[in-house]
Amino acid sequence: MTHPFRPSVLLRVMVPAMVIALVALATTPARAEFVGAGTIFGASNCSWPTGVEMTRARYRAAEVDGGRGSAITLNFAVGGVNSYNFYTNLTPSRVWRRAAGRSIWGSFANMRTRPLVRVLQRQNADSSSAAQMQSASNVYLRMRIRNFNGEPGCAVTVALTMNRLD
Amino acid sequence: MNGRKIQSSGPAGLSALAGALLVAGLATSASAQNFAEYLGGGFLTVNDGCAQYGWSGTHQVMVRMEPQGVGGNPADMTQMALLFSTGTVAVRLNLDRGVRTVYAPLQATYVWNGPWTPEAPTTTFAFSPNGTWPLSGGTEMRRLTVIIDNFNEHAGCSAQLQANLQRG
Repeated sequence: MTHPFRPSVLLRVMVPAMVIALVALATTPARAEFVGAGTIFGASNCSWPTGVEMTRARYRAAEVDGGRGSAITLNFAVGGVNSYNFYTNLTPSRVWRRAAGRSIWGSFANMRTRPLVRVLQRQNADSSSAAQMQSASNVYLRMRIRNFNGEPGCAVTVALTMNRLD
Repeated sequence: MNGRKIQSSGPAGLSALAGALLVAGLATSASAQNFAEYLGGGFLTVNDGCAQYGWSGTHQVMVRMEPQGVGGNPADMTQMALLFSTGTVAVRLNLDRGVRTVYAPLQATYVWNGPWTPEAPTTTFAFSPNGTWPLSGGTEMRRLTVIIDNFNEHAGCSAQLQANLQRG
């Protein structure tokens, strides 16, 4: 006697769930990540780096990632990782943007002194025109980072050349 | 007595340290004078002709370069190393005919699993006039754009390197 109710219970649960899933699929924001590498230089007041460093890089752009904010991750050639998260787009400007910084060397650490980032240039990698993030197939990103690598007062310039991964 | 010993060993230790610092200083300045090396990176993409060899998509790559004739580098040889996450391509080129030229390397060495230096490399390098010609010197290569045909000695596989570098 209880059996006839089971399909209807299933349907009542499943159909709305499927509808929600389909709506979610249809409204999933565009996502793109830019991956590449570049260089870190122009260090001042840093115990590290002191010269020019190579780094791999990833960049998630808020403009094409549904408002989840922007993120830069640097995977240094010498080992170690820095990750910088922003609420905002990384449009070039004179503004020093506050970031949440994290690093991994011997262990994971939240940067206690907030990193400040000034985006100097964001161009197409293969030209000198400003990158239109929705359509850019690659990007050259140049920025000055203060309180780099969790070291208060340490500032570096980072220049990255990255390709779009959809 | 113990105190004297400690005192007398102090200056000796200091002078040894000073000597070590001097040597380090000389080594640094000597290398800075004799070589101009650029460090950086970017990405490398490959065309459909590379799929048969297992290459596809975008690859992160770090780049070291010593352009010929710049800052005491040899006049007839440019060295470039492409450091991929899982292996290295290193070449010597003589970029003596300008930017609009397809160059065969003087030497190419591949390290994926053991070093391999083919006697007659088939890979070629062409620097885009839209990018930074590496021999233009300066402290920065904003756009190093290189078309690499027969990439990794793979016939018909064409790759494009896009990178930025800074003089070390």
